[in-house]
Amino acid sequence: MKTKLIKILGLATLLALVSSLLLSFFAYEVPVPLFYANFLLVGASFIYYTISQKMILFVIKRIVGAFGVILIIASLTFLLMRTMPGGPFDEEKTLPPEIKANIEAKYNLNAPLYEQYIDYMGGLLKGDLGQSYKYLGRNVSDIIGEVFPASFQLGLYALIISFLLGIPLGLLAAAYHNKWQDTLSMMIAILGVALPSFLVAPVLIQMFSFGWPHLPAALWDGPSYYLLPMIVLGTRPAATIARLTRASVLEVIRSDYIRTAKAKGLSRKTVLFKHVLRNSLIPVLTYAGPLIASILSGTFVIELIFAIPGMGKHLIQSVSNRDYPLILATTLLFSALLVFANLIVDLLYSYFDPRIRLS
Amino acid sequence: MSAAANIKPTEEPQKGNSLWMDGLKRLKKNKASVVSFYLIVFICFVAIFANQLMPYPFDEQFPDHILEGSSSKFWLGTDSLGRDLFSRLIYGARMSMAVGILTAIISLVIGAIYGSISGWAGGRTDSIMMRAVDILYSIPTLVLLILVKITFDSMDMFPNNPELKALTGMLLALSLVSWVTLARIVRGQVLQLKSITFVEAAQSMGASNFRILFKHIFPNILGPIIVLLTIQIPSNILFESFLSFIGLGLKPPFSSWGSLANDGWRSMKSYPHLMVYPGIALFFTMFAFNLLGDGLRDAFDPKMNNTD
Repeated sequence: MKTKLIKILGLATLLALVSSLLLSFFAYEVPVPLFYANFLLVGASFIYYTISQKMILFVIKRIVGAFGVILIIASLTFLLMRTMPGGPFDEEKTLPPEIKANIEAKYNLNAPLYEQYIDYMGGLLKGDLGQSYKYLGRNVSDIIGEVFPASFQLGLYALIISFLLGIPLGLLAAAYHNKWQDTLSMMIAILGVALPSFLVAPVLIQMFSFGWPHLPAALWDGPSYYLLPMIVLGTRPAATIARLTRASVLEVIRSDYIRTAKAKGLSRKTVLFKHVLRNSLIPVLTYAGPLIASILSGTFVIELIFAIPGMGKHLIQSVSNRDYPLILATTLLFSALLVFANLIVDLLYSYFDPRIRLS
Repeated sequence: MSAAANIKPTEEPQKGNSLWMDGLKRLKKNKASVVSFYLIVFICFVAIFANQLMPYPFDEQFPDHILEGSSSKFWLGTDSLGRDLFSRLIYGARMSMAVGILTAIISLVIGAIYGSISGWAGGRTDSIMMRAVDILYSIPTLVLLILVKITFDSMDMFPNNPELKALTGMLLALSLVSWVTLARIVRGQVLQLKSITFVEAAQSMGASNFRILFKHIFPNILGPIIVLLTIQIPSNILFESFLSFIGLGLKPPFSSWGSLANDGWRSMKSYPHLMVYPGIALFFTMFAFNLLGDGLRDAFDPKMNNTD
């Protein structure tokens, strides 16, 4: 009964996710009700799964701990940021000192550092990220809200591509260990690691936007716009995943329970997909946590080359502009994504390998 | 005694092979790795003797020869300021390789010391040290890197040597970012070795912690560390070119492969040579290092011994 419910919920969640992904790919705007339904389903199945597996306490502890971690990261970034020389209003054309003092007074920049820190943390606890120094009069949360969706979308597609390509490639290489399939797959994987994205992207644009003009060279406006950036962004992780999968599968294949499975007379296919693959996904998952966070929070180079209005620009420029609130906001978003991704990864560990106990 | 009886007699029973010789033998069988090794040696040679190999100084401008294609005078053409691309490419090799190798070594030293202390001490020290690493890990790499780089650049170290001055900020920033991963791996290795009998034996004979760490543990994790080093170098080179590409790397007139690619990609359609040649250089270096790293891992990683 219980397992049946989990299966139904899981299936429904998967369907909702896939359908909304497809919709967002082909129609750009996900209908709002679908988005909420999706969110509800994912949340419900997540909570149900954690309760039924008696992991709810673990999850609550982790979420509470996450807030502490994020506060520490905010403090550390604050400190690092302020030790960095230069201020937000040091421009090439020096402002008259009175005007500069006025501006700094407006943003409370002339107060002692600890006072500013307390101010900022107080705002943060109330959910207020402050105003940008560079984009005058705009709340940092509004800026992030504007640019994050494109980065998130691109990152999500790239993630899907990298897993869909990487895992089969690694599995193929391991299944035909030391045969030509292995060599070929690993050559492809090394190519993927060795080719920097800033070289691949212009070459692909040259090929598919000018040489054989079928795909747009830049911007973010529909499925045909998504293809090139997501391929470029996905190849490197795909290659790494392929290598991790191969190494891990080769190790699992030699374990006793695989020998048992083979001795039972199970077919090669069943052994490979049901027994080997599931157990060898653990290293891939470990890699997936940081990958998810870094890929979803925007990638500067690809967004620059393809002129995608994403987070990546702010990730870099906020630091060069000394736009303190924006630096903190991007950092915190990344950290939150990382903490959340790692939590999901930990839950998946225990799903794929029940020997791993969460405590 | 029974274990000894199981060992098959070989033709030369007295000549023991050390772990290193075994590994080298396995490495030599891997053709791709050997070729990569020679390619890397060649690139290092070019990097070291860059000043002698450059036909023109890397920052000399020829105003009459702007954006020219290949010719007998300029083998790979010139850039938008009329500088010889071939010379800049060779000089780029020097910068890129210096960043790649030095950063790997610095971060490895920091990471190895931190990781082995953490792993060896264990208990509360370990968990505090690792928690600190975790926190450093959850600041976006690029943000941390730029923060650190700007700070170091402003310190104005080596004011008399512009080349070193351009490099130090990048070197220190990259090392500070990448030692974290290495510390984690070294800690894992130390933790594994800690419970092995020869360490226990050394402890019971009264060896000091310091001695055990340096005499017993380090030689045993040297293999994985060297493998790590070869994997770390290309990723540093890539990171540097990445930073130079987005304009945060070496300041002009210095060139690295990334900054050359950055100069070139916007005019890819009209002047492809500006991007293609640095791209090829970068690609082959990355490819060679990755192949060699894979080969070294297969040859020296004890876990993979049974798979040949």
